[in-house]
Amino acid sequence: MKRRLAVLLVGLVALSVFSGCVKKTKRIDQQKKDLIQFWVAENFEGEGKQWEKVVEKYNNDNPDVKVELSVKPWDRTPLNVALQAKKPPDVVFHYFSDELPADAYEDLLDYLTPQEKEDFGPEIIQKFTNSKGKMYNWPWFIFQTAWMIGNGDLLKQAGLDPEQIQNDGWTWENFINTCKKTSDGERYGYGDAQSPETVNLLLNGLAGPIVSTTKPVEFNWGTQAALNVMKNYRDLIYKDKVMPKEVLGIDVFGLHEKFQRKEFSIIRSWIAWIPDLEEKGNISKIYILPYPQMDNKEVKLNVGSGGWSVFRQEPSQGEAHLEKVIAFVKYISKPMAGEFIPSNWSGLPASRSDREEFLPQMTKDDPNIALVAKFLESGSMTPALPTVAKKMNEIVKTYTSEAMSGKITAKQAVEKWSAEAGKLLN
Amino acid sequence: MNLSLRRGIHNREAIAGYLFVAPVYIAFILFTLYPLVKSVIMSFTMVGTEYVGWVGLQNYAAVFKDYAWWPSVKNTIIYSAVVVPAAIFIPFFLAALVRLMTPAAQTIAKSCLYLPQVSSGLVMSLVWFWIYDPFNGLMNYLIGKVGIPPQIWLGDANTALLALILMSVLAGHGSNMLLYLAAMGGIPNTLYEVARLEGANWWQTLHNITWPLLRPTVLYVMIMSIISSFQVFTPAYVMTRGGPGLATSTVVYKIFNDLFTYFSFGIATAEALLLAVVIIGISLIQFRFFASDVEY
Amino acid sequence: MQNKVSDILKKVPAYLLVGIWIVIALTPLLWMVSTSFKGETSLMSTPPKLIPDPFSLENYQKLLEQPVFLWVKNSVFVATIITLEVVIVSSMAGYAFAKLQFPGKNFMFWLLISTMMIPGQVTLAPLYELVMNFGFLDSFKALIFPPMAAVWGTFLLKQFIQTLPSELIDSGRVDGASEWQIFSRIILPVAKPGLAVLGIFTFVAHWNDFMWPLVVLKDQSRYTIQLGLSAFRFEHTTAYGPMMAGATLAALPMVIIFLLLQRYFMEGLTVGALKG
Repeated sequence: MKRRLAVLLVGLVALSVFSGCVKKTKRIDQQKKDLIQFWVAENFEGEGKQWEKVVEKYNNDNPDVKVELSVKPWDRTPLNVALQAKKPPDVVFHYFSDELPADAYEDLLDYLTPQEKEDFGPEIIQKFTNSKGKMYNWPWFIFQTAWMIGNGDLLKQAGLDPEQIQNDGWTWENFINTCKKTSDGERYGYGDAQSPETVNLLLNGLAGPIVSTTKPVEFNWGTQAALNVMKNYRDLIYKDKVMPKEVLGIDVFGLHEKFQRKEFSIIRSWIAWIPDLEEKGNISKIYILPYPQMDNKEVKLNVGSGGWSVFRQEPSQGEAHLEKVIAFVKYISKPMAGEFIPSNWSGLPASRSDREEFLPQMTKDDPNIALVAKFLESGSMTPALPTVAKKMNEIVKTYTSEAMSGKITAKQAVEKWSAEAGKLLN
Repeated sequence: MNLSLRRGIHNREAIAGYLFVAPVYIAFILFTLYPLVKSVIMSFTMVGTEYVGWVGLQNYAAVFKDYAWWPSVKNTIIYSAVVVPAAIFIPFFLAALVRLMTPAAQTIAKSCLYLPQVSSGLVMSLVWFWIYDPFNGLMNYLIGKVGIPPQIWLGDANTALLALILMSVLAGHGSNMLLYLAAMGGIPNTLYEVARLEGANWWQTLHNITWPLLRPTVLYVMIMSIISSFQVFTPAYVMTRGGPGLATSTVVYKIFNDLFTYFSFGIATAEALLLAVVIIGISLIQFRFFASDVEY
Repeated sequence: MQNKVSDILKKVPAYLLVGIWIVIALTPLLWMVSTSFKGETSLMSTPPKLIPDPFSLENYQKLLEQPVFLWVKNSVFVATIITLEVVIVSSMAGYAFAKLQFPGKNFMFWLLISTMMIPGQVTLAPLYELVMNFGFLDSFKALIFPPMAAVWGTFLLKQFIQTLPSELIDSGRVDGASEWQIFSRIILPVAKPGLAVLGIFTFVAHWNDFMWPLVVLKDQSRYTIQLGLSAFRFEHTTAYGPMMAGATLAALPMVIIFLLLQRYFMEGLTVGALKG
């Protein structure tokens, strides 16, 4: 009896499943619109809903096209699997990099009008072009969101002037003294839950790019400058004792929590979180603090950028389809109705004209944004690096992590990462 | 039985054998074997993301030279060396103890010990991440009560792997316990009666009757534990990203990285095949030692 | 009289040890539930508190802004179907490998088992491509069909059925029963504990499956609950409170399933079939 029941159940299920299949094929046949598959991964809460509105408007304004939005969780696996299986979406936001299969992208260079080319400027065009001369990312925004941020109340309480630090900069020694002044039994001076990333940033800013951008390709972080960076950062825990070692065992969320509870005066984080932290931590003003200078050298931060990738479809859907996809890409790269989505992350439009139009709204009376804008205008873009750089960066981060956790000294870290990176070049 | 009847039964038995196995096997060939063979071929034909044609053992050689390979192997072995015995013996004893309890108490015990399994590995990893918070996590709070100084756990290269191991050992082991319980229920009470009459105590009964009779189940638990601990991935991915440094990098974590961060398909599939060969080897040894058709 | 006292004394250590282990095992789970009731400001308090203070429902409110019940319904549907199919095909194949003789049996079995040794991450992409070619993508079919290759289910039941005495089968044959009747009328009822265990494990495993649904499902209305929970993970942070609330909610159906099926573990081999 039970067996018959089970067989019946399975049969019913199979029937319903197959009938569902039939319905779907019918629906697709009726559609004659150009289908554009658009994947978005939420960078922050609520972003998906913003995109839904954008896509809905675009679909209404362009009846010959149907943009199909897929809001994915923040996990690169679906995209990577789809790429590996050679069935990617049409448009996806992508931190461009050279290591994806070169033939996965459509070359967007041909679709760049002379006016757009001038508007972006040569530096951006060069940044979004890979080593084979293909433009595989449509520029969307520029940013540098990783900074040191300080609790203004606590800094002022300790007799310090954050705005002056913003305007004049500060030395590494000043930074350590500030941390010491603002810490006491209940509070730590400085916290960083992503020290490998920060060290990477400082290395880029003080020791130059990890690998030379021109032939001969050489590894550049075996220098004294690199050693100074590693040593100074490691000393924050072990010598100067302004950063507690425990910070290595928490994540950014945990660090934010503690910052809100005033257990840290200065932390390294992303500036997009400033309004949230001010509100939850009951802090009257949080200040972005520039990275301190080391050995009289200013940290030369690079401007980051992001854009849209268009993936090649197999089999090809034709030139007309591609043009529609690119028209969509150009549309979503611009501020719309006074809103520019990356501005949530404090990104600015990549196109100069859009930036000039958009900046005044953002800069109003906020010393923080003024600092960032000043930096973005004067900063230079992260150079395009050869493929091997990615693995080299990971190697450096591995040994930075070991050094920060006390397993090896700074000198050993530099020696090890130079040795391993050197192997990659042979 | 006369000869012709036996042969007839054997034919019928063989046909039945194939038919019974068919649903699983057809799906297996389609959904498991085919993707697998494709992956194995990749390890011999791909360099980076390019299909290059037969490259022989080039990818395998590259694996051994990778700076992250041997540390990952070492971590995986250390992890398994502790977690596998724990997964075999702890639930066995728990099952034996639970059998001594009243039926009502047994239900409670079974439910409580299985319950932790109902939440996914992802969620448990996140919970344990908090438990290991060096500032005010539960673990440091508890060990402080017995006089041990607070540790940095996941942020310290010396304790990170230990943290992951502890996490697996201190689990409920509910599923393995349930397996043992189900199998123990299959042992006829007559055997236990005889043992009692002969004056055997609890430990002797357990050692001489229950354990040998449960061999197929133990073998299953052993092999599944070996497979899952050699393939440990989620905690390394969610909690530490293989760090600090390479302290918690496991083989499957490295494979995942090679696939989805570096897009080195050839190397990743080669690593996967190497891992599989090792696990198969160990399992074969276990089968040789343990498998005997125990019937009574 | 003496026996009774020593009986009870024997059992006290059992209760104690099991009780201690229960506390250890349940702590993370209790922590998860406790966190789901902690408001954002008290998520990480010093010292850690098990009882939320103040008790807050804000995480659940946040959670319910998402179509949680739809996700749970999807998970229930998918997990149930998969469980039924896996138990049926695994018991058939497990029985065959355990008790039937046929040429090539050992090779087939070992081939099956050896594939468990390859980590699933590696076959993600080829399987994705296959599923796409069948047209299963973005539908429940992609979730339902692949598990029919029930490798570990077959392994589990093979080992389990192996512990059953072969006399059962022999006596069935002598009585003139067909192979299917032997399987369904003799073996299955006696294998119930094993089937129940496999059923629970399969249900839980697919309830908790995250990676595969993430890769094959695109339409949010088809999300399973674990995939839905990942909506609370963003690039750099995770909304822990609502996620724990979601995890607590996700755990409930499974607790129910477990309590429903667990009585089958109590039933052991009916010794009566052997006597006489």
